[in-house]
Amino acid sequence: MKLSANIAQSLALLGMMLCAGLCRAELAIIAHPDNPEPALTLTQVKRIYLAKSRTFPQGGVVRLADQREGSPARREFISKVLKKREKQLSTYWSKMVFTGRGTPPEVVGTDNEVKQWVIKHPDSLAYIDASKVDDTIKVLLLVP
Amino acid sequence: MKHTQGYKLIGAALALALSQNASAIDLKWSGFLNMIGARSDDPRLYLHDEGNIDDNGSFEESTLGLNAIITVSDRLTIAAQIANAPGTDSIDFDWGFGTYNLNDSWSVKAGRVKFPGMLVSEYVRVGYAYPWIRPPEAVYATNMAAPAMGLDAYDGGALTYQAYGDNFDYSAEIYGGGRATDMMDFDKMYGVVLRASSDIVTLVGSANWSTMAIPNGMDPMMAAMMTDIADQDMLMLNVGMNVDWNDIVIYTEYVRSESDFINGSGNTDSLDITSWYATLGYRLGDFMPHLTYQSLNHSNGGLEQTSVTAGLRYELGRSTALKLEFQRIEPEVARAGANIPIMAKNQYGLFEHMTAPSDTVDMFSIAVNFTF
Repeated sequence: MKLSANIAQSLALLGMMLCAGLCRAELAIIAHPDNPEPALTLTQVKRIYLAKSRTFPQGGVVRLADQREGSPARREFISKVLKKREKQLSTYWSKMVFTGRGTPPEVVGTDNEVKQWVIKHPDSLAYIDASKVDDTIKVLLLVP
Repeated sequence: MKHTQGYKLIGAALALALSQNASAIDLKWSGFLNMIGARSDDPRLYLHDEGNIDDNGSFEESTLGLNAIITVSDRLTIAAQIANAPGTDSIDFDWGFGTYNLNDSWSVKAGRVKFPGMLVSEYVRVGYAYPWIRPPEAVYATNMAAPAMGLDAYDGGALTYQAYGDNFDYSAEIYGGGRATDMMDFDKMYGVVLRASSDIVTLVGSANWSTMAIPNGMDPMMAAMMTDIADQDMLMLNVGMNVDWNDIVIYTEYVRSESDFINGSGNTDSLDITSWYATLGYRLGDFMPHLTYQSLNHSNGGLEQTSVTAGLRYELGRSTALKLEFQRIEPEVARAGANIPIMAKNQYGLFEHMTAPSDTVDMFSIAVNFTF
C-alpha cells in the first residue's frame, strides 16, 4: 500500500515536472484590485502593449509592466498575445522609439515582483503565469 | 536660413521641458549605431555626398544617433533625435516634435518631422530596423538624382487619424510645412499619407506636393545649375508594401516624382523620376538571406540605373545585427541632348558627376547595427 502510494506520488510529481517543461502555461492579464474595468479582450491587451492605445476602455491612462527578458511568462505573452517572435518585437520597438511614437513597457521583474508592483499601482496592467494568481490582484483576462 | 528660427524655438521648448520638474517627467533615452564599410571595384564615387564609396573603400555611411522621448503628460509627448547623416561626421538635429493626443483616434504634431511618405523613411537612419545595410537607394538616396531630391523631413505640423479594425489598423495623416537643406529648399510643402497594417502586412500610399527653391547662400556655381528648377513645383507619389509572413519577408515600393523645370526653349517641362525595388527575404533562425532588385529611371532620355543585391542579416544577440551585402550596379548616363534639368545631365546613375564608371560596378558592404 505504502509502496503504491509512493509510486503514485512519484508519478504525479513526474507528470508535473514533465508538464512544467512541455505544457504551455496559462497566462493571466492582471490589474489592481480597485480597477473598475470588468474585463479586457485579447485585442485590447495587444493594442495597449504595442503602444497603439494608452488608456483603459473605461478611461484612465495605463501603466504597463513587462517581465524580464527570458522569463517563461514573457515568451508566452509575446507569442500568444502580441503574436510576434522575439526578434520581430525587438524590431517593432526600434521602429516605435526611433520615430518618436512610443517606448517599450517598464521591465519590472518576474511573476512575483510583477504582482507586488501591480498592488502598488492603481493604474497598472501586467501579465503573470495564471498559477500565481491570488486575491490580491484582479484578473482581466485569462489566455489559455 | 529661414527655418533656423523654428529649430531654435523647438530647442528652447525641449530645454524647458527637460529643465522643469526633471524628476516628475518621464524621460527615456535611446540610441543607435551603424558601423558600415563598403568598397566597390570602381574609382568613381557611388552615392556622392552620402557614402562616397569607391575602390579605396569607405566608412562614410556609418552613423550614430541619440534619441529622447519625454512623456510630459497623459496626452503630450515630446521626442527628438540627433544623428549624423550618412556621408557627414557632424551630428545634426535629425527630427524633434511634440505630439498631442486628442483621444485614441486623433492626434496632432508639430516640429521637425521625418518624411512619412515611404515604408521606412521615418527611421531611415536606423539600420537595425530593416533588413538591408542601406534602404534601396533607387528610392531612398538623398542624392539629387533620386526621386526625393534630398527631401528627408519637414518643419511644420500634421494631423493624424487612426482607426482599428478587427485585423487591420488604419491611419490617415495630412501635413504641411517646409524644409531647408544645404542642397535644396522645399517651400510650401504639404501631403497626405495613408497606411493600413495587420500582423502580416503593411501598406502605405502617399502624395507630397512642394515648391523647390535654391537655398540661400548656396555656392554660386551650384546655384547657377539649379536656376531651371527654382520656384518650380514637384509632386511625389509613393506606394509600398511590407509582408512579414511566417519566415518570409517582402518589401516592395514604387515612387514617382514629377519635377517641373524650364527647358532650353524657355517653356515649362517635367522631369519624371520613377524608382522601384522589390526585396525577398527568408528567415532561417537568426539568419535572413535576402535578394533585392532596384531600378531608377529619369524620363526624357535621362539617366538610368538598375542593380541586384544579395544580402545576409544575422542577429548577433539582443538589438544587434551583422549584415553582409554584395551588389552589382549597372548605371547609364543621360542621352546626349536629353530634355532634362541641367543638374540631371552628365550623371551616371547615382555615381559622381561627369565621369563614366564601368558598365557594371560591383560593391561589397559589411555592417553592424546596434541599438541601445
